[in-house]
Amino acid sequence: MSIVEVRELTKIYGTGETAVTALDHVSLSVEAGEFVAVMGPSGCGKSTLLNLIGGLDTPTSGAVLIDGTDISGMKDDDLTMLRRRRIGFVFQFFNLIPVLDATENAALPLTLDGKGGEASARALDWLGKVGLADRARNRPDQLSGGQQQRVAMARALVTDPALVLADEPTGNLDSHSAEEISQLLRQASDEWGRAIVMVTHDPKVAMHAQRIVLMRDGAIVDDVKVGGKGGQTAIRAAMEKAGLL
Amino acid sequence: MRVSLKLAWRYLWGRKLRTALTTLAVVLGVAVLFGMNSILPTFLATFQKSLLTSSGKVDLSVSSESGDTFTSAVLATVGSVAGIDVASPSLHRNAALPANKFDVGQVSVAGIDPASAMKLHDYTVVQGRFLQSRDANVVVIPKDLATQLKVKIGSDLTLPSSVGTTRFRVVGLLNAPNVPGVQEIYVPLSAAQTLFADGSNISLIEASYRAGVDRAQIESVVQRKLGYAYRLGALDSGSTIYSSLQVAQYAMSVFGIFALVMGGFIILNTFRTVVSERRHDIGMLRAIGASRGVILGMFLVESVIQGVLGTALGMMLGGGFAIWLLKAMAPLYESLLRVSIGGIIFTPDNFISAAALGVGITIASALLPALSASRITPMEALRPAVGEGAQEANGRGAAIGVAIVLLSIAALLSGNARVVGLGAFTFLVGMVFLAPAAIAPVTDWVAGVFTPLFRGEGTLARSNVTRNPGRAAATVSAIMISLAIVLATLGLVVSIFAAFLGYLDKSLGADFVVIPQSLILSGGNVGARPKLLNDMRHTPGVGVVTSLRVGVAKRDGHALNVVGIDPNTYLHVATFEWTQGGSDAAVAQLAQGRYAVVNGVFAGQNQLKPGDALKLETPQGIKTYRISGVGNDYLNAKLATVYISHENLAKDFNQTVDLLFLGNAVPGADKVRVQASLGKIFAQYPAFKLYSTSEWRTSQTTIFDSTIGLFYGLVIALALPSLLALINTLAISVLARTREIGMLRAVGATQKQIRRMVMAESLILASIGTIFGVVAGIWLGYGLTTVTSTFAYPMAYAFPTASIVLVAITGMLFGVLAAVIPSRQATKMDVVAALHYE
Ligand SMILES: Nc1ncnc2c1ncn2[C@@H]1O[C@H](COP(=O)(O)OP(=O)(O)O)[C@@H](O)[C@H]1O
Ligand SMILES: [Mg+2]
Repeated sequence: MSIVEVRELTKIYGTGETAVTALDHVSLSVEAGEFVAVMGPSGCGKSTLLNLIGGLDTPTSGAVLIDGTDISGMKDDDLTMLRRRRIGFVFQFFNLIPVLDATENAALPLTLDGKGGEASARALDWLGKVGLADRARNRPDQLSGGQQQRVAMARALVTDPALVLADEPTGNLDSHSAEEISQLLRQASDEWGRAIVMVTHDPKVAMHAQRIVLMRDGAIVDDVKVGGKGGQTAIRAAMEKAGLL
Repeated sequence: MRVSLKLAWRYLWGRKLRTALTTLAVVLGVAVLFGMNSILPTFLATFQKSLLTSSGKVDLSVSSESGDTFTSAVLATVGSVAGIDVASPSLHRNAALPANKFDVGQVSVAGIDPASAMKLHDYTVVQGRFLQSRDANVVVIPKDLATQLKVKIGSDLTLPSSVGTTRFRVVGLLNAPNVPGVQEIYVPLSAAQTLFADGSNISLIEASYRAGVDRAQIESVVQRKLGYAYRLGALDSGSTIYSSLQVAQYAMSVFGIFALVMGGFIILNTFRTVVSERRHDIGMLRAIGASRGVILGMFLVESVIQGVLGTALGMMLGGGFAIWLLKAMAPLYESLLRVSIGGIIFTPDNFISAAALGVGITIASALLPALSASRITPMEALRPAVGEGAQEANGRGAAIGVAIVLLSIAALLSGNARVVGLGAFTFLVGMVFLAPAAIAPVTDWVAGVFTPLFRGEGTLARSNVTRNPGRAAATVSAIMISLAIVLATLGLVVSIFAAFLGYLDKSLGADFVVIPQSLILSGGNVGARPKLLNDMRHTPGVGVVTSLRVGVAKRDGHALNVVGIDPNTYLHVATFEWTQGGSDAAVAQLAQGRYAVVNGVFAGQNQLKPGDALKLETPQGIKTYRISGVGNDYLNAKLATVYISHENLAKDFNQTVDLLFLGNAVPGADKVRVQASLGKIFAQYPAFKLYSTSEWRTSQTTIFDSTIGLFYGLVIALALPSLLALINTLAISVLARTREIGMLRAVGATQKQIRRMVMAESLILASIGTIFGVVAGIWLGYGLTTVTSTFAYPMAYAFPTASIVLVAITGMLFGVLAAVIPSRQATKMDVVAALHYE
């Protein structure tokens, strides 16, 4: 069964003359352990799609199924629980709580869930896995941008969620750090079996994914597998079609 | 809850500067509230004391109707009435001092019974001792008089007596209030009786009541036992002291409410900033699965900790400030009002209300913005914005603001005092709503003035102000509210002042006035027979002279001042300020039967208008008067007063003695010589004091000036914390822009430029706040004046030009001062660290 099942999803912001159709009848499914990159020009609806999948926003019409459960009609409390336990988030900015140290930030979803006892150990474990064991007690302002994003990765993975959503996680990083984060995401999918949906502008980052979904004007225009024979050319053609090249 | 606790603690501890600033806001808010409420009872007690030192705890005074002395047997009669606690006899006479020895011509000798008198009066002995029961020829005199007479403890004071002269030894000096007129000195009653060869007679009995008695009942019993040859003076709701105290209490509670509003606003304002700064963090927490409860819990914990801590510190600061203020002002009061300010009064009520309000307001201030922050979707909160993007002012808030302002304008035009007063407050509220939308246009206008001074930095500052209208509006509102309150208070005080001097000028067209030594207790004054008035009229150079008489009526169980005037002569030397369409014809009408002019206080309290019937309880039974006009005069402006003709006062109140004279010199006469001739007549009437009107005006002005000093003290107490609040707000706004300031520094802005930018922003904010504050302050002042005018002192609104200039200068000064710390904070910033901030 798909971990994410999106059906005819539509999101319209505003009403009347100023209404903006951010998503227009989008359908998509993501399998467990799959690493999907979503690409497209700015304003095409990538973040909107991700936010709807993550239960951060409610659709105008259509359905989002996570693990077979329709979340489009869920109440705020249920959505909160869903995000806390089943989904991990990585954002471009404002990822960490500035007054908490790396371990505490990474442990936050567990702490929020009342699992204070094991939280610290599990967070430290994950910080080790993302390569930050030696910075466990540093606060965000003592970490580089790349290190901060790795703490965010540890936090996204600490609850062992089936799904990780990342909205331009490398958008604010230098190319070296971007490469590290990309590899971590790949590892999360390959080694730890998480499904990853990542929005990115960067083709180099996107190439770490197994599959690239291309969007334009609120709709999916192409969906290609990475790797395999002629993969590169297929991707180039798809990007051109989406207006990215 | 555990997570909330942890997060709260970490935010408090991790953001020490911010925590300090927020707690400081609570400290200031509570300090204002607690400080004011500590000062108020003390001031009130002082005020009370300064008014009561002359009358003490006297509930009832008895003197003879004729003003002559009477037998001391009356004392036993009065003392035997049930409900009377202490009755104290005394003999009062004026004595001339030998002109060759002293500069002071006259003193008033009070022969008293020390034991009982001390139960009724506060005699503050500053040196030596007070009279004792077995004393013979000793005297206690006011300290000032001693200085004037150049006598000290142990000196002799020689007084003229029935046997030539008698020597009294000075044993004590008193700190007595400076009442214009002849000073009073105290000797034992028996010594005074011998001095004036008055057998065992006395001239006054003062008495106090037991707690909880029926005052009206006792008065009627005493009056019945003594008959109408004796005059009773009672401290009732109609008396000057009582009404002055009510006015003071009213003014004090207005200050208290202001303190609460300001304190609450400072705290709310700060928390709004804190919550909006943490918007992104809240969004992120919500995204990764924090419930609304967790967010609210976090702010709850933070606000409880800061509320408790800030309240405790605020009480200490406010209490300390109150003590300091009273200490600093004590010498002023002692020299001006001749009262010593008592120790500060910390009432349990004050502790409880400050604690409850401090913690309560802090929690509410944190939870209200936190609640709305927890409602925004995580997505909205997370919307990336590298810096602080330009924000649109909330259109709905502006619409509400416009509606409220329109309502308050309607209230202003309504003419009803309560509605006007309420409208003035609503205007302030409306401006707070309107401020965010008004920021952009007003800033453009104000910045036009500053930009030439600050060049490029001015432009930056202008955009800093306008791009976050919410925060700018909060800062502007804080300045507006505090300045408006200060200006309104000054406006009210100036109006009171102007009104009284205005009444004085208008209602005393006379060239000279003759007043009894003490105007305070009308009932206890000694009157004059018609011969005096006749003598005055026949003095060469004297033109029209009119006399005032006083009686006491009852209405609904309360004493009411009834003033008798001569309808034929009164208007030649005095005037009424007519209201409700009255005219001078109302005075002429007094001669045509039972007609009465009532003053504004009385008409206002009883909803009376010309033509209405007025039933008065008189010694002759209930009599119905018809109101011929509503008008105010200076002497009785503070008191509910009814004016009737001498003829009616004699008929219904058995009152024929003159208490007060107003007179004019014949045109062209030498006023100095006229006054000298009149002076000769009054040498035989020591109970009266002759003043030229200008002398009297001066003595009244002095009293007012010192009273106003008291109000300035309170205004200072209100203004200082608001400066600190502005600093707080600016500092927080610099903190919120840390990263951006770092960026500016990184691209080459010098420290000086950053400083100028912060300074320009501060000045723009302060200017807008000052402009708003002046407008709102004028309005609020007008509202307060209208309310006060209707319910306390009748007066017109005086436009406080000087106060406006003062407030405008203060506002700009605040702008400069407030920028000092935040601009240093901004320039000292480590560029790299700043760029990493958040
Ligand atoms: N809260 C919102 N209100 C109105 N329009 C919005 C809102 N959020 C996004 N949009 C619009 O929806 C469209 C898609 O936005 P978004 O999903 O953020 O694009 P992307 O992430 O692909 O750059 C854009 O046109 C954007 O302006
Ligand atoms: Mg986006």
